[in-house]
Amino acid sequence: MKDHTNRPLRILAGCALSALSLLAAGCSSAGVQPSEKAAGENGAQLWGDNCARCHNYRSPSMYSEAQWEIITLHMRLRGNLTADEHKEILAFLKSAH
Amino acid sequence: MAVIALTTAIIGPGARAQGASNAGAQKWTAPSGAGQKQNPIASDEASIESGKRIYDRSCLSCHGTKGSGDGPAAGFLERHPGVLSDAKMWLQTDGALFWKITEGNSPMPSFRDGLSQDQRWQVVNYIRTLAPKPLNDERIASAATAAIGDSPAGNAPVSEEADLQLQQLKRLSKAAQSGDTKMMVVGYGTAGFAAVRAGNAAFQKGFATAFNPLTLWKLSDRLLFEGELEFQFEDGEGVFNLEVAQATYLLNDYMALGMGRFLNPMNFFVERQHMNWVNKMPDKPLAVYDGLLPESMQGLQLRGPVPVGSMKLEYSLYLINASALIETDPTAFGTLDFDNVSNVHNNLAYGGKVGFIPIPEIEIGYGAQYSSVGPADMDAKALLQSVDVNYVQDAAAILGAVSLRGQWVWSHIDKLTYDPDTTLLFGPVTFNNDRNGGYGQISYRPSRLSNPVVSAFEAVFRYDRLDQSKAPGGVEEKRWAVGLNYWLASNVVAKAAYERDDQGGSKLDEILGQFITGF
Repeated sequence: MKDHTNRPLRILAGCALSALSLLAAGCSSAGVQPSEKAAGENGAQLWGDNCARCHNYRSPSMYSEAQWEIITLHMRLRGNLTADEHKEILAFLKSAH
Repeated sequence: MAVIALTTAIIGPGARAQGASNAGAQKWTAPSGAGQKQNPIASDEASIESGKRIYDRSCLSCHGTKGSGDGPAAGFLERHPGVLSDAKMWLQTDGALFWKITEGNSPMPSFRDGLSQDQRWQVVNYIRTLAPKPLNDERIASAATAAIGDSPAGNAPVSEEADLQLQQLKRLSKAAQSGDTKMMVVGYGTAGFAAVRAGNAAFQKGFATAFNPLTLWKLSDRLLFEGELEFQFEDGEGVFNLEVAQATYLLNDYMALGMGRFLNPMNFFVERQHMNWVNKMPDKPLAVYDGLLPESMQGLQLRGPVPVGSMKLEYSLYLINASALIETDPTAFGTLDFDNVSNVHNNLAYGGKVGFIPIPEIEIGYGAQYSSVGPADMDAKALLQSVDVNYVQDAAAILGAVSLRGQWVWSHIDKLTYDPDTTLLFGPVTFNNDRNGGYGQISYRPSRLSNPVVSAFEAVFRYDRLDQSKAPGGVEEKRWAVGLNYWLASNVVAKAAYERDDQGGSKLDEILGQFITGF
C-alpha cells in the first residue's frame, strides 16, 4: 500500500528536482544572455499567448499604468510568467494607453 | 432569468454598438509635418522581411496575419483594429503610417520606445505589401499628400522635441492616476438565480448574491500582498471567507516564495478558473471544487516558471496544515475537513504541481499532496492527486475562440475502521476510502464575427462526476450541463444554464442564471 501511494509523490519530486536543476542552469546562464529586444517589442504577442490561456483579454486601456504594474505582478505570480514575459507584457500594456 | 435576459437585451447590443460608433466618429490623421516625412529605408526584400518579423511579434495579435484587423485579440478591444489590407491604405503616405506606429492611438500602443526608427520604417514597408496597390500611382500620391493636412494639428510643423515633451507629460499624468499608491482593489460581484427540482416536484427557486473583493498591494517590485475575501449568505446568515491572505516574495526570476493563506496550487480549476468572471458556467464542477481537494490552504509555497527553449514548465511545491480526517461524525466518516485552519490533528502536508506548456495554447498539469490526516492514535495517510488538460484556440478559420478543459482528481485514504468500539452507535465500519471525480468542458464563442450581438454569445457544454460510492452512504453523482453566456465586456457576463443531475439514481433538474461584474 505504501509503495502504491508514494509512487506519484516520487514522480512529482522527480519532476520538481528536474525543474529545480533546470532552474539552477537557467540562473547561471541568465547573466550572459543580454535581452536583445527592446521592451514592448514582443509584448503584444506575449500578451496574446499568455493571458488568454485562462481568461478573456483585458483591454490595455482598462487600467492605468500604475494599476497595470500591480496587476501584472499579481498575474506573474499566479500564472508563473517569466521575468521577460512580465516585463514585455507590462511594457505593451503601458504603451497602449 | 427574465431579469437577466432583459438586462442583456437592453444593455448588451447597446454597449457594443456604442464602442463601434465611437470608432467611426474619430478619424485618425497624421499631422502634415509628420506625413511629409520621407521613408529612408528602401522597400526591398530585406526590409520587408524584417518588417514582417516585427509585425508578427508586435502587430499581428490585433491586426491579424493578413492585416484584416482580425487578430486573436481583436474581438476583445473596445475599438476595432485598423484594416491594413484595404486599398485605401495607399491614401496615406509612408510618413503618416510611420507617425501612427510611433504615436499609437488607444488601444493601439505607441511604439516610440518599443521599436527603433528603422524598425518602424521596416514595418511600414511590410504593411505596404498587405494592401493591393491601386493602378494610378500619381493620383494616389497626390491624394495621400493632401490627406495628411486634414487634422487641425496638421498645419503646424512638428517639433520633435516639443512632441517628446508632450509624450512625457502624458506619461506623467497617467502615472499619477488612481493606483499610484501601489494598492488597488479588483474582484467581482455576482448575482445568481437557481431553480432546482427533484423528479417532478415543484421547483425550489431563489436569488443569491456574492461579493469577492481582492486587494493587491505591491510593496516593491519583488513583494506583493494579495488578500481576497468572499462575502455571501448561507442559510439566511451573512458569511465571509478569507480565501487568500498571502505575501509573496520573488527570490529570483524563477522562484517566488509565498507565505500565508493561498489557493490550492495543485488544483488548476481552483487556482486559475474558479473566479466567476473566468468560469464559463454559473456553478462549479463537482470533485474539483468543494469536493475532493482543498480550495484555500495555509502554509508556504515555492513556485515559478522554467523556460525550456520555446516551451515552458511551471512548478509549485508547498507545505501546509494537513486536511483533517473526520472520524467522529458518522454522517461524514472518512471525509476530509479541508478548512483545517487550527490544524486539529497536528499534521503537515506536502505537495506540489508540475505544469507543462508545450505551445501557448496548451497546458497540461499533474499535482499531488500527501500527509497523515488522522489524530495521533490513528495511522491514516491521504494521497490526493489531480491531472488537468487545457486547450484554447482563437482562429479566423473557426470564426472565434474555442476552449477545452478537463480535470480529474483522486482521493485515496488508508483503509481504516471507524467507530471500532461502537461508542458512536454507528460502527464498526471499515471501507476502501477511494473517491474520484472531475469534469470535461468545451466552449465556443464566435468572437470574430462582425455582428456585435452574435459575437458576444458563447456556448458551453460540461460533464462532471463525483464517485464516492465506496464510502458508507456515498453515491456516484453524474451531471451534464449546457450553458449560454453573453459577454457585455471582457469581464462582464450574463450566464444561463440547464443541468441534469443524477445523484445515485435520484434525478434533479436545475436552471441556473448568473450575472457577473468583474472589476
